[in-house]
Amino acid sequence: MSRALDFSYDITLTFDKPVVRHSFVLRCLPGDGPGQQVVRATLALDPDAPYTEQRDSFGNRLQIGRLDAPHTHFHYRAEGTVLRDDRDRGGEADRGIFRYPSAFTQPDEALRRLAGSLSLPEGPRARAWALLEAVQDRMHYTPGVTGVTTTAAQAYALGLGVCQDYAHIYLTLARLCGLSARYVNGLPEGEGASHAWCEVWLDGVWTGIDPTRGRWADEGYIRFGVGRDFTDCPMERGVFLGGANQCQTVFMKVSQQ
Amino acid sequence: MEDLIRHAEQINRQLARHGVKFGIYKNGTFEERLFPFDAIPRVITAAEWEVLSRGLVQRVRALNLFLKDIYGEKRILADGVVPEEFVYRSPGYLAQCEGILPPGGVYSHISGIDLVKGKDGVWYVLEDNLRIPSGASYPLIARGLCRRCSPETFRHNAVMDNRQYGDLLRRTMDSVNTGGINVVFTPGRYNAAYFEHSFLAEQTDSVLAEAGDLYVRDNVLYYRATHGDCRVGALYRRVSDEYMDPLAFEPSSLIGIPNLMAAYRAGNVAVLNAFGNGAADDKGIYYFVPKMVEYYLGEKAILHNAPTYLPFYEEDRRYVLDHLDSLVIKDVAEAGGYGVVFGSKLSRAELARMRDTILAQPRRFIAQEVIDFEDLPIMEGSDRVERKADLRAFVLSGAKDTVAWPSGLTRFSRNPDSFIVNSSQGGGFKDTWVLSH
Repeated sequence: MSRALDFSYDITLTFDKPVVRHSFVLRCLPGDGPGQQVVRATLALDPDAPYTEQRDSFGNRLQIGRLDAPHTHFHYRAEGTVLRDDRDRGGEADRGIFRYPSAFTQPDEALRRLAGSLSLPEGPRARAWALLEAVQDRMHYTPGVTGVTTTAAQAYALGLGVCQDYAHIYLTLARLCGLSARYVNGLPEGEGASHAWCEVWLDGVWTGIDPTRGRWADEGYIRFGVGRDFTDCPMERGVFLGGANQCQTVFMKVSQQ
Repeated sequence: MEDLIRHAEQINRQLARHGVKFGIYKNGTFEERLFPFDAIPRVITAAEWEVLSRGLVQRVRALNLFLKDIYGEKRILADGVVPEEFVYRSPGYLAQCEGILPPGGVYSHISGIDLVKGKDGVWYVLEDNLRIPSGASYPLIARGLCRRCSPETFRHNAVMDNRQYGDLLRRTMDSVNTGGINVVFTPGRYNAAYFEHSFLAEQTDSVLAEAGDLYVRDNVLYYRATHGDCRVGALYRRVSDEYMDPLAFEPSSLIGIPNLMAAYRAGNVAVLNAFGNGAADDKGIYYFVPKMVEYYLGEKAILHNAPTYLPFYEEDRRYVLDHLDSLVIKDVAEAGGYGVVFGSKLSRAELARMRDTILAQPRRFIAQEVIDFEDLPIMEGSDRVERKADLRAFVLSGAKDTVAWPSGLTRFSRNPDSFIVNSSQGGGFKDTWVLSH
């Protein structure tokens, strides 16, 4: 069933000393795509900085700019409305690059052993679900243990992690088991932090699956960026001059209209 | 020739004075070394060069078409000529470059093709270097010094001039320049090839710049000049892909230019060589180059590859495992003479270990027959001795044409038992003469 979702997404970066020459790339606005139509989306930056829009090689929307003047915070707010409708989807193109390991989804011996030991059902859909159960069985959701540079193999060795780690482990297993699978950054219905899940190519549809929450990622999910893993589609990336410590706070909200 | 040999010491002194050096990292510290010059040139006849240069141009044209294809339509993958996993698993393949057509449609502007001449008189390509091949400056500067020391030699031998390299390079940069100045971008003076970067900037009348001198605003690359900032139209970069833009590649890079990728994606700057070329000079992809020539150009490849086996294919794997003790095994992820193993030098136990590694990771290796390549004479003190040598030929591709530079870097091994000639492994170099008739 089709749904209209209002979203807002706030990120504030605060620096304990002024920074300059701050260049950034954001992927904080959703784009049109299969099952997803953007009705309205706006971005406000504070301090105000001019930015240009591009699309990266995965089709994600980029907002690119720089802030030269000294500043001690950088805040941006994205908001808008998205129509989600997964009925009548099909004929979406598979891509070769989603079948092979990437930097963060390189299997190690332990993940290879796990993939080899699973008795998977016939049929790609059932198989995709069985892999989700395998991840859920072995991982314990624990914030603060892993970080943005943790690989699938490292998180799996810990048995602990957050949505990004669940997604990386899921992708590693899915690709080892012959599925095309990709990483998704975005916002699910609710409030709190942004989320990461996966999409698996099943019968011509990039089908959303959420290994962290143990469910299919349905029409309550808004896709912001896709890629082989987290590094292809972070919502915010920046570099600046100044020996400052950076602190980041995030708040998002998605609700049905 | 004798006259040149008499002047060898003087030329080496001059090279040292000009700062012709390369740097190496040894046990974690950076050392600058002189690159010993041997005065006896390698001589390539006009007839030989005619074939070689056609072969080089053909090969580089095919490699450029391959890069355009894999980052675009992917016909060669769809047609099954190259298995897709050789591209997508290659460490040099950059997904960020998908769908970007560089200015002029050129990916590899400066290609360094490494060849050896077999004792059978046949030239074999050992490896293609399409990322940041170095070395053109050495024969270039040595030639100038030789001509000054011994003008007679060049009056009596019909040697094609090689001193136009700077012009060729500048023309290549100009042909893809999107409007603005030409810049040579160096990681800085602690790079192995820093001498060359500054030399080529001077030869091409470009600006030599480091990361702090360049910035991107509104998807345009600028150079901070003393009299005001100016736009950059072509960036001949001597920095590896992964360090070029911390916002697109390795986030921790301090020597990159933030958002250079945005300027490149927008078509506002030409980057020489383009990003992602590593997908075509991978040792695994090398196997397929003659097939690319046929696929894209409809011609038979003029230059031969060394006979190569891919353990990825079952038939080749069986051959490799049966003949391991006579083959050279190369790790596709390594460069600069590292990761090269001669089966004949391995002990029983090492051979068994290599077998297991190949069986576990067949995609990681290629195996080649050892080519019995020609020895070249060098002077060792006052003795003339024979040593293994290779040739790095330079091929320049602009928006309109591809040309082979009638010279090249001949490197030799100083160790009589070694086949490895890389400068990072302590070899020397010679001038390369191409005769005009």
